[in-house]
Amino acid sequence: MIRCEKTTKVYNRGKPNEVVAVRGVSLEIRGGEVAVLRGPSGSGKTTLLTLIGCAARPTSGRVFVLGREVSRLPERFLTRFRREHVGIIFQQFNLIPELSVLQNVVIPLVPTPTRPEEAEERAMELLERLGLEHRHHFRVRELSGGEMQRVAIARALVNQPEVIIADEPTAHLDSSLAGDFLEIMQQLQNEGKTIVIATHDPLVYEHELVDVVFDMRDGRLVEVERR
Amino acid sequence: MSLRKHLNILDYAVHFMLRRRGKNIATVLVFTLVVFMLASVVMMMGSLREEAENTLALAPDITVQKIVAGRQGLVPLSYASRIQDIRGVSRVEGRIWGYYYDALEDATYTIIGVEHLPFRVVEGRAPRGQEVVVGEAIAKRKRIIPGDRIILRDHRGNYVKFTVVGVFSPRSSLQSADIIAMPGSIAREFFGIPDDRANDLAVYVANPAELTNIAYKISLALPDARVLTRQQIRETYDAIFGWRSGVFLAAIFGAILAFAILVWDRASGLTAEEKKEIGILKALGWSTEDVLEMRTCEGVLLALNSYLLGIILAYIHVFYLNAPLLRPVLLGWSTLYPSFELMPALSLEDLLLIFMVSVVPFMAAVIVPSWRASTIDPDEAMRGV
Ligand SMILES: Nc1ncnc2c1ncn2[C@@H]1O[C@H](COP(=O)(O)OP(=O)(O)O)[C@@H](O)[C@H]1O
Ligand SMILES: [Mg+2]
Repeated sequence: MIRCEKTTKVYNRGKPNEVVAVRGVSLEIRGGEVAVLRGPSGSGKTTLLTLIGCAARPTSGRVFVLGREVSRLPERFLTRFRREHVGIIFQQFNLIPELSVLQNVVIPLVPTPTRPEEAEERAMELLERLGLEHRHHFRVRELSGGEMQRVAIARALVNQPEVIIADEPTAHLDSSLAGDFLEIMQQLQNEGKTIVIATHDPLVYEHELVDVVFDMRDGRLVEVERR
Repeated sequence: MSLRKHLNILDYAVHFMLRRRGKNIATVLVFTLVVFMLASVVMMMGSLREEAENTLALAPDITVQKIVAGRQGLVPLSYASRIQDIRGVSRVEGRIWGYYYDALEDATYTIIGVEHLPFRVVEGRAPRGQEVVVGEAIAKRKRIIPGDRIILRDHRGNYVKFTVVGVFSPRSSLQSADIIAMPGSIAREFFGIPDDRANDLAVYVANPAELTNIAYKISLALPDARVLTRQQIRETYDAIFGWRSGVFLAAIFGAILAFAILVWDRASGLTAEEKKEIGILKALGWSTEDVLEMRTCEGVLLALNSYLLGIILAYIHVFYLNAPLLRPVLLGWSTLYPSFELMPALSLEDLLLIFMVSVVPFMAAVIVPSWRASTIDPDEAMRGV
């Protein structure tokens, strides 16, 4: 499903501020699994997520997603692949504050041939599932933190992706909201989605829904714990 | 490529634009003002040029005036027969005309004596006896239609009644607008011009190549006459247009300056939120081209709206209101024509010219910074740029 082969990502290559953020990582995540990338801050979790989530290409090594080698795709095709198969939940939510909840959720569908009515219908279904239908016309800046995250989740799901990646999803939530988040992830796993979460929150990586934990240190994969 | 996708992006662009209302209203205002200024000047110049051409087309080959004490005086008709004797002259006419101040309307009209009408009449026929044909502007101002009467005060102060039998075509406005035409003999009586005199002489020559030569012969034969050829009148116009082109260039320069400020503001003015939003869009699966397309739509919408608004406002300003904001620049012109109305004259080239100097650089100013922003990597947005 997702496979990395000796994947390396170097930022600012050849410059004095060169950083090797991910160093020769090889790993495999099976379809329908919930995987956690665990490690201290700066260990390369976010970078590895961007590679798996097709938001960036590795400097060397290979990345396969859904059986496709995405590490060699030209930018345009990588973008399209991401748009069609990957949903991203950002650490900072990355919502657009002046837009309504509904408008935020449909953004990934704008540069596609989806009709607006269909896009909104899909978005409303997701908002309903996440208990936000009564908030659909609210501006995002009028929402609470937990609501914002559920909007971000709805947006990550609106393109019906097979793969969902989430970066430190519980960083801005209290433990009860974090529990809600994990419950939603549980549902998505039951629907067959493959989920990759970068986190150093024990509430997440100790949760029973997690199938595999990859421990990262200084860009290296140091331990794999399959449950 | 699906049209649906482009419509979606266009729709997003409209929202993107409306969300930054304050900034965009300022942009539209400056842009509209620039287009308005440029278009007003261009339209006025075009209109005046056309009028000058019309006037020249109607002017006689040679106009002969008599100068008395440095001013224009009445020409003895005996001059006409002396000019007629010069070889190459086909026809000489004594013309009767004068200015008439209408105190009621605070307007100055030109009364001309005519045997046949120099301008096209839209309504009615040529005047006979105590009849007149009036210019379109007078007809409008005094609400006159053929069949009505007007009363004018002659040189003795007597009130004279005339029947209006026609209205001049608005096409030849500059001259016909404020003109009252009446038969030559009636005009002569009205102004009290002696039977053996005229205001000036209109001379027509058979062969245009001989024009200068004949004019020279006339000035030799009549040392107290001023002889103006059509060519000289054209040169006068050209001189005025030359000066006006300078004004025009200054106006363009000013407009471009204002525009440069706007463009600079736009180019440097991609706000942090705009940049962040573009980053988010990229992270959510928009390609660089999608982002550029959205920004281009926004630019086109802003630019086209401002452009159309500016053109429409300029059209109203110049052709309905008679260019009040440009009047000071026109003072020189009004010594040639005491009053006039600008007639719509708008060429496609003018519209294109204005488009090229306004919309095109604006679009560049919108797209270049967006292009820079849209090439940021989507993973940047993951870290909250
Ligand atoms: N765009 C970038 N340019 C340069 N260095 C970067 C960039 N992004 C991340 N890094 C560096 O790469 C390393 C790994 O970062 P990151 O993947 O964000 O780790 P984590 O998510 O585990 O905190 C860090 O040292 C970070 O400073
Ligand atoms: Mg991180």
